[in-house]
Amino acid sequence: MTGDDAGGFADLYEPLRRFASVVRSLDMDADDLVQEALVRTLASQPIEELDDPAAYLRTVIVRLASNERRGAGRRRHALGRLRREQAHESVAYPSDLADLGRLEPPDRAAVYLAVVEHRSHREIAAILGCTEEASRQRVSRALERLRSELTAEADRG
Amino acid sequence: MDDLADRLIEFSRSGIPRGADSVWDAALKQLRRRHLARTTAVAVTAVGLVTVVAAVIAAIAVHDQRPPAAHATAPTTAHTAPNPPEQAAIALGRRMVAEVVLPAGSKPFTGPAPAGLHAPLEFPGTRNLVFAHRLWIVNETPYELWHFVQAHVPFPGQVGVGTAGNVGTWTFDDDLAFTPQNISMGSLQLEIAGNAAGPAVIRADTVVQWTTPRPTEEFVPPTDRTVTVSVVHISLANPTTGPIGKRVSTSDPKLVQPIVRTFNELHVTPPPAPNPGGGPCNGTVVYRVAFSASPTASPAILATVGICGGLAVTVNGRAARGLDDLPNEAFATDVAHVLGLAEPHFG
Repeated sequence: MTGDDAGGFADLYEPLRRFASVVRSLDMDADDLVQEALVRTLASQPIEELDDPAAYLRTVIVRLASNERRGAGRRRHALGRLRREQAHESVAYPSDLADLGRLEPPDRAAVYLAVVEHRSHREIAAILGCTEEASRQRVSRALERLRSELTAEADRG
Repeated sequence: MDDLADRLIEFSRSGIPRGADSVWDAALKQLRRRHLARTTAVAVTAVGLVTVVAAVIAAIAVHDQRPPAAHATAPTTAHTAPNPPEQAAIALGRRMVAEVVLPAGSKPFTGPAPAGLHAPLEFPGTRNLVFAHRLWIVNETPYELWHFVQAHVPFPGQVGVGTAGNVGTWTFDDDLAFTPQNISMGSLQLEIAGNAAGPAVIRADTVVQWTTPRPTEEFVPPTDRTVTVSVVHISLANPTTGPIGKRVSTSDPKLVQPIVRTFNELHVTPPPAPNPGGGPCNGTVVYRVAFSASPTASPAILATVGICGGLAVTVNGRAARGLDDLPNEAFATDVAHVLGLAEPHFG
């Protein structure tokens, strides 16, 4: 952990936080996700020793978000764990956020990287730890699912 | 596509950023704390053994209670005498509160609960919950105390640590990974408040969820040695049934025995609260599992598991109690192994 590391992280922070905001479960804090990814990374090696710290941290963020969703996060979604301050508030999310929330974190990551950051499937595959073909399929299926759900929602009025 | 990009960009900018410096500093502190926790693990275990003894005495002073009326959306049980699972839940909640490790010199706090510490932080939207709590005053700053409690988690196998810093409170949330029979969740929540210079007041809450025992006929008998798994493709319009995809039948004990064992160890899903809330929870497939004596015999027990982690069960065509496969998804994972997958994929 050096001063160079801190400076390097400052350059990475904004895009990482935006990425984490999209990938996270809706009840997770994006900064907490970035922070946890940073802790996991620093525990194994300094940031400056990574070939591509931005891609590495994105990979960790996706895995953490997936684990959270599969574990305690899913329980909270399924059972509707109520935060004290929200006990009398609606926990429904705006519909456009809910559409995205239905996708698994790796799907959301793939769509974001493709649509917003205009990454190649080679880069997306490297971040998600899959093949380029799997990346293509993941983006295609996620977009298709988003479209069909948005259409169904529009039909419901 | 542009509309989607705009939505994603808007989504990516949600919330108020803490800033690079804050996240970096917090990460370094967390890293140091975890290192400290590892190096003091043996000492913490010793402290834990001592507190088990202390719990027997302290539990007398702890009382289980329902959440305040203002939070009545967390449902309660109509009360007569507690049944055995509920009694076990009350005892566990008291013990968890009493085992909280605090700095030397901490004293019970007897005044009215400070703002922000008047109720548990969170609880599931289900019935069958029992609550216990205690408050202490500690001659440290809230921030120091918050670090202390995280380094002295009294229970092994926690599955989540959450923090929230609002209105000068610090929180810690920890669920038991392994719970006793008919106890489906044991949650310890610690909240700290006070002036930045101290002293700090800490509130420990436990939320324990009990479940009704399963009748004998709802367990898979040892004579069932065949498992057949069907992948059922579902849709938003029809979330419980649809076309059958892959189907695998096996009598291999290495695959069958883990599934049977896991199924028989699952807890009954507690009844949901009225208006439980919760976010979206839907997939594109569910796994339907049939237990039978042989590949040609009719199954008595059918279990269906999906992305939400709940099992719908029928016994001889009759709907049985739903079972809970969360948080570990042990049953779904065993089923995935029969399908040749490392882990479940519900789409």
